[in-house]
Amino acid sequence: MPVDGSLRLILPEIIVAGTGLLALTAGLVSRRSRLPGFVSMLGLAAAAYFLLAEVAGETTQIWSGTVLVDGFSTLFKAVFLGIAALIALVSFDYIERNGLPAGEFHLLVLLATVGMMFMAGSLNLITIYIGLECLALASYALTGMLRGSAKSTEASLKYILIGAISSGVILFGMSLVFGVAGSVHLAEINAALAGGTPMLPVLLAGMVFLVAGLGVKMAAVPFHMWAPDVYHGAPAPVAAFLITASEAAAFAAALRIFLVGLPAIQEHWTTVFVALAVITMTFGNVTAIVQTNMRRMLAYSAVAQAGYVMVGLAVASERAVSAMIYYLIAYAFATIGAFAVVILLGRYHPAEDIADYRGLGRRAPLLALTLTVFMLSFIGIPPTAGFFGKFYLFQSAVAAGMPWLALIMVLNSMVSIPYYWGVVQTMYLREGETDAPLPAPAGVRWTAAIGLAATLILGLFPDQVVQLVSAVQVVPALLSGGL
Amino acid sequence: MDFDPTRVAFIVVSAIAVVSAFRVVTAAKIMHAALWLGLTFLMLAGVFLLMGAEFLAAAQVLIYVGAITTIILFGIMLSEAAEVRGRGAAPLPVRRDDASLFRRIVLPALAVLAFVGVMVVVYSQVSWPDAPAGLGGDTVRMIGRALFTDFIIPFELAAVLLLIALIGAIVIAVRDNGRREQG
Repeated sequence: MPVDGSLRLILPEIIVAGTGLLALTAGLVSRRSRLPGFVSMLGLAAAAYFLLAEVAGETTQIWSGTVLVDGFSTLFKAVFLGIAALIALVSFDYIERNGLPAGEFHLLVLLATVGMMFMAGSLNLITIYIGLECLALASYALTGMLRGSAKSTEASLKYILIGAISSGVILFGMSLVFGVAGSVHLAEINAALAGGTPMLPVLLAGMVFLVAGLGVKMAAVPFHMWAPDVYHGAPAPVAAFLITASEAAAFAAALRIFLVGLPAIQEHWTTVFVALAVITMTFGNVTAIVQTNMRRMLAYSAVAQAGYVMVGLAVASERAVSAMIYYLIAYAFATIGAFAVVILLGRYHPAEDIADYRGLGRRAPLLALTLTVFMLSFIGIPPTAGFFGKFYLFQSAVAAGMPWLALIMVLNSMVSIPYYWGVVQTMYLREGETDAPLPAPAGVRWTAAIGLAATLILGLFPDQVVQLVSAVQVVPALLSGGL
Repeated sequence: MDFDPTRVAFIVVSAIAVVSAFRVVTAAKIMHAALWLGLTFLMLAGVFLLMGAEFLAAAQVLIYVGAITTIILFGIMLSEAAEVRGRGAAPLPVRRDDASLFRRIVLPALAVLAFVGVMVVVYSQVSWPDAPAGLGGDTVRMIGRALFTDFIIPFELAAVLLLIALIGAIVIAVRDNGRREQG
């Protein structure tokens, strides 16, 4: 291993992992303290500082191509760090209330973040796979952390079983691709396939397994069976983490694998992703309409949103990729903000039914207003971030000659109006049993406020964000000119 | 086709591996399942050996057959779970209607047949290149060098993975006497 200063390029990852150990130790000092959460947020801030000050702007491959540092990976890493910090912020009260082991909780979130950072920051299938496994194993444990809740245990068991199978499927797909191309490095796979695809059937089988395995992590229909149970049964902050960060990481890895490694068979995986995108968003939206439980509604809405994002993967143009990243960021802030309100409500109404939101407009006017903005963003109403996210995806689909796919997106957005708007109606128009105000803990208030600010800023100044996002290339410049 | 002892050995070893893997999930006693699992691991070591991966085969025997199976057996002995369904607890009612027959037998069989069929078609349609020459020799040295040079980052990340697994298992399995309503 060359000691040439390349270690500083993965310093953010090292800091996050070290912070996890510190948070674990802090949790040992006192079982019920808030110290691990503060340690975690400080460490994430330090990692973000190093990421933006030292790593941003660099484009290079280090350690025999097992790690790649470029704009794409840096942007995704920044998103992961931001999400992890918001999750730490929103879970202070939740951890205390449910008596969760704070040190272990934050350690697992941080190490999952490390895994995701490597998923986005590598062109090597082995690194991507181990990063994915770090994320997956941490998710299983986090999902099952509510030991007194049967729902949480059931969700964890289902997630372990389906997740383990999906890991096997991904590995099998990777091994088939390796068998054809003779390399685990995506750029070399690309080069090996550039001159023609001699063993097309095997390659296609590998592609299908990769799509299926990653589809599980994205909660794409028909690989979504675990998602409603996990998003419903897991601790609420964990559900928010999985819906946002885990899904974004799966999309980041998929973008790299398919756009960098397998452009030779683009026509084939485009077809698959078009079909998956249409099925996923339609199924998610239609099923979400009939949900009466807030968490389950948000779970099916997450499935539908994954379908929208997948439109970008189906189009696979440079514009579509930046639209996807914009959408993932916008969706992440709105989701975590909405979950902050869900966490607050869950404190007083453990059933978490949508009916429990009656009269929220009077009981917690500010939080009800922020939740309204998040719902508008999910629907895609201007001037929220969700509107521009959908708009850019729509544009990229039309520009790529798939206007019908864009049309299906619009139709789906219309289908989604009743269930998102239903929550708003319930909050404002239906009388609650009580008018008692809901005092919100500081962490919940701050998370909702940050989510609100980000949703509005992304919506009001989309150009600046789009500029930032479109500067990012999935296929790093150092590879496009040959190897 | 010429008689090829390696091919025959491969078919025998992998057939035993498949059957014992099937028994792992169908065995009624969890101890039997663990022993079948050990046999599966051993047969996989045989497959590795036939592929010329001696080091992998040795590691498989040492770690999977030796350590992991033993730890699973210890875990079973230290816990009270003798049967998969749990001692004392009434066995889950097995509904013997048409739907259960479909779910338990027809659907898995169809899935397996479809998978095998697709893979056979896929594999038979391509002409496989010859095995790369020169893979023999000192695989231990090659693997060691690759692990500690080219693949040092995945190797270190695997350490993080093990830590996650360790802490995660403790979080899920630790005895918590002060249980209360959560959610």
